[in-house]
Amino acid sequence: MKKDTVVRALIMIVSLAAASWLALFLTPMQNEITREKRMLTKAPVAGLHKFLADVAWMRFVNYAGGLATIDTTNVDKVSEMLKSIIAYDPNFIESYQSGILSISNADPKLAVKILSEACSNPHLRSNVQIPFYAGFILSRTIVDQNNPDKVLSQPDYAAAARFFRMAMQRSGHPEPYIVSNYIRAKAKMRGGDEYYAMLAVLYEEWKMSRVKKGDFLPSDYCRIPDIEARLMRAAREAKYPIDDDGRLVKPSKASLELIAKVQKEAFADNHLCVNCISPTQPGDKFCSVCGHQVAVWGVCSQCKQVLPANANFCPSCGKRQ
Amino acid sequence: MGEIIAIASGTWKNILRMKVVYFLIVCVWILVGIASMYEILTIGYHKPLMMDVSLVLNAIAASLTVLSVTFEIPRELRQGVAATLLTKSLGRTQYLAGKAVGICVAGAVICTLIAAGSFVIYSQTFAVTIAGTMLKAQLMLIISIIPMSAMAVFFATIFPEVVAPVLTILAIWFSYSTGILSHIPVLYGGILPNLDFFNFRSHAVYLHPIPGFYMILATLWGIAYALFLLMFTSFFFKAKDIK
Amino acid sequence: MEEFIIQTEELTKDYSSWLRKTPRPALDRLTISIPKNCIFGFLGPNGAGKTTTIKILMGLIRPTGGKATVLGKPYDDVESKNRIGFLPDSPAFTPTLSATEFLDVCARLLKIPGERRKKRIEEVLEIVRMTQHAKSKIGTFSRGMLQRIGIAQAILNDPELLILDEPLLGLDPYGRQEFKEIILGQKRDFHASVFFSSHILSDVEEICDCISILNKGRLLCSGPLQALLSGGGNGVTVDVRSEDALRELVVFAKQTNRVADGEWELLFEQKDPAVEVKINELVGRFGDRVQIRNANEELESFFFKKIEQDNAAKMN
Repeated sequence: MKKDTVVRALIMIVSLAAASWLALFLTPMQNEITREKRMLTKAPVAGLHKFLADVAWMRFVNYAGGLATIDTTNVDKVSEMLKSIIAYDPNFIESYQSGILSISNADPKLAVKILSEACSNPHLRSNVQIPFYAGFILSRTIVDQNNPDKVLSQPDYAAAARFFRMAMQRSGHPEPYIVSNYIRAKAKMRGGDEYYAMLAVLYEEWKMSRVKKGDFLPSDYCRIPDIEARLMRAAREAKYPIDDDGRLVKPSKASLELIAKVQKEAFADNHLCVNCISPTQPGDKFCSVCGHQVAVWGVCSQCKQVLPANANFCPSCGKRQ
Repeated sequence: MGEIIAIASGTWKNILRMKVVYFLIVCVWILVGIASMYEILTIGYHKPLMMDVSLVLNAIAASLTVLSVTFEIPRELRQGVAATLLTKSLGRTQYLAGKAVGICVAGAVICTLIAAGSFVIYSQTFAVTIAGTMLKAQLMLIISIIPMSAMAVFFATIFPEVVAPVLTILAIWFSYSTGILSHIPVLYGGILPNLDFFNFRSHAVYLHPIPGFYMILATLWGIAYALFLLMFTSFFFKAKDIK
Repeated sequence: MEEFIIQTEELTKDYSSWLRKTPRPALDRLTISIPKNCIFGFLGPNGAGKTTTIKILMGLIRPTGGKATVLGKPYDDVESKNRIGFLPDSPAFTPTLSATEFLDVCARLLKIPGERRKKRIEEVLEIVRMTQHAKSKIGTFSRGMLQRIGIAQAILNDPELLILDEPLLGLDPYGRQEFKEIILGQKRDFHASVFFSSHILSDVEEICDCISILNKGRLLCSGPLQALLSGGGNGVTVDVRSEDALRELVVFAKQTNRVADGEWELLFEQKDPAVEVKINELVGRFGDRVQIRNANEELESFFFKKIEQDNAAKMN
């Protein structure tokens, strides 16, 4: 065999081995970089998935924009369009935020299913809206717009709470509406008196926030910002509940016991009016909200003048505080 | 090496002197610019759409450039240009390598022009700077021309003039489309090409990072695969009568 | 040092395959040896195998059997191509390149060093009278201009051997004359050997030292041109430098040519004994002013005779 032929055969075999060896490294690396690929459609579209998703999105916008409403009569077609967009591009956020939400009134189960799959997309793990929308849909009773007697989905507060918590965990500073929905979902899970349930949930969350380092904490715990302000408001609302007609009603015994417990444990240092649980100012003898007598605080022990915050001496009489 | 460069220079000059190439580039720029008008139809998604359109059109331009060699090699063989060149001290393998290198250079120039123009349009339209990921995605696309050119040379050498372009397009389609086979080593990525290694259009749109180390490995893969395919083709070309 | 610049031994090319059978091989056991520093004409009717032979010698086609060496190396040796210039029968070059650019590509392939390359390109363009078209695109050239560029790229490297396939095709009479001068110049000035095929027998007869004639893939004859042609002649030529002798001989002559003042050439077609006696008598009377030489057959009639004899033999 000629030398030239041998050399070419050798180069061919070596380069094939090199390409195969490199492919062994590249494939898992690429799978790691493009983790959404496992969610992509397997249809052979020559790598044009993103572009086809764009085209499908424009078709969806064009079609859905021409509809008066998306209901059970046309939701199947709209759903198929959205599913094809997501199949081509699972990272297409607008398809979830605008698209899936638009079908949630007509096919809430499918909407939640798609949003749930999106929650496990690693490229969307910082997206707060997707789990929030899932929780939002799950926390409502949805009926067929064309047939109000037909219930399309019942609330699932446990699942909704999980999604709201996910939304909170994804955000460094969760939006107040997300936190509110989370607490409400947990309260609904408890059932019973709504005001008591809200206070109980917030009280439990407050206790968990006070857990010392090293003590046990549930793995899904998510710290609620401004927990004390929320607790305070919930205690106030539980003490003065109103019914569906807007009339004040008497709080339950359990509520009152819980309110007292909360005041004692959570707000001992907060200088609150025991009647309406509103904060009092230094020197106040009576609550400015309800007029109830309150314990005076923040005054000089000698001359009873109001002291500035963090004062070491009284500016009126000079007594050390 | 000089012989390969000589053939390559003839090839890229031949391609880059075609007026239709510049017409194609201008058309691509216009289409990229038109994407900015889709704000309403995409509900504000026109910015990522423009980047995606530029990548897709650039990929199509790369494929068309590579496809040109499937016409050029059979034509040169038929008309006798190849005979004139191969009767110099030019090995047949060097001729094939020169053609592949020439296509790579021509494709790189065309795709770079398209990318540069797209970036200018994008940054002027939206008053933003171009992200590094966008540059990397375009660069990966340009690098994908290396294995594609070897594929085109393979089909152009072995199959008749009418069939070679069709098979090349099908092969490129296949190489981008069958990621489900990627878990089979040697076969896919080894013997069968896997151009999906270079596909990061989604990343450019969403500004997800592309590691530099991965790009280097993918480039090396492209070169190794091209070398394998060119050597494989040379066995057939050496036995071919140049009429 | 090789004695023969090209040698073939039982060289065969059969285009038959399991799909398609051809009635005969394109080349059938061709054995020729072409000496150095010779202008060699390779003749034959269409389909004789001339182009096939040339393409095998240039490594473009693989033979089915036999051997061939060029410049002492096997026919497919790549490095020896540096010493060969080749012009194909229908030259075609990259149309979008200019003449200079294409010659530059060829010069690089021939490993002509950079500093010499540009100068040499200008020289060959001057030789083929294409200097004014140096920057024009090849795609705009006429057939004759393409032929000139073909010649230019063939002589770019001052080759030891020029192999030309139908080089005179497409050239006008002026072009043919210039081309013949180029070939003769290559042999004279650079001691190059030239191997070319042609159908224009008058030009072959004018410049070739040796010829071969092929028919249907087989070699009919090969050798020095004059030796081949002189063997076939039946007539006699008499050079006469005397008016008196001329008057006595002219009545018998088939053809009379005045060569110069006081010199004539008389051609007698048949060897007539009475004419022979008369000539001998005149030689005796006028001495060296009447000289006899054998008449050469014309190449054209020799060529047709050989082909017809071969065809007739095959039919029998």
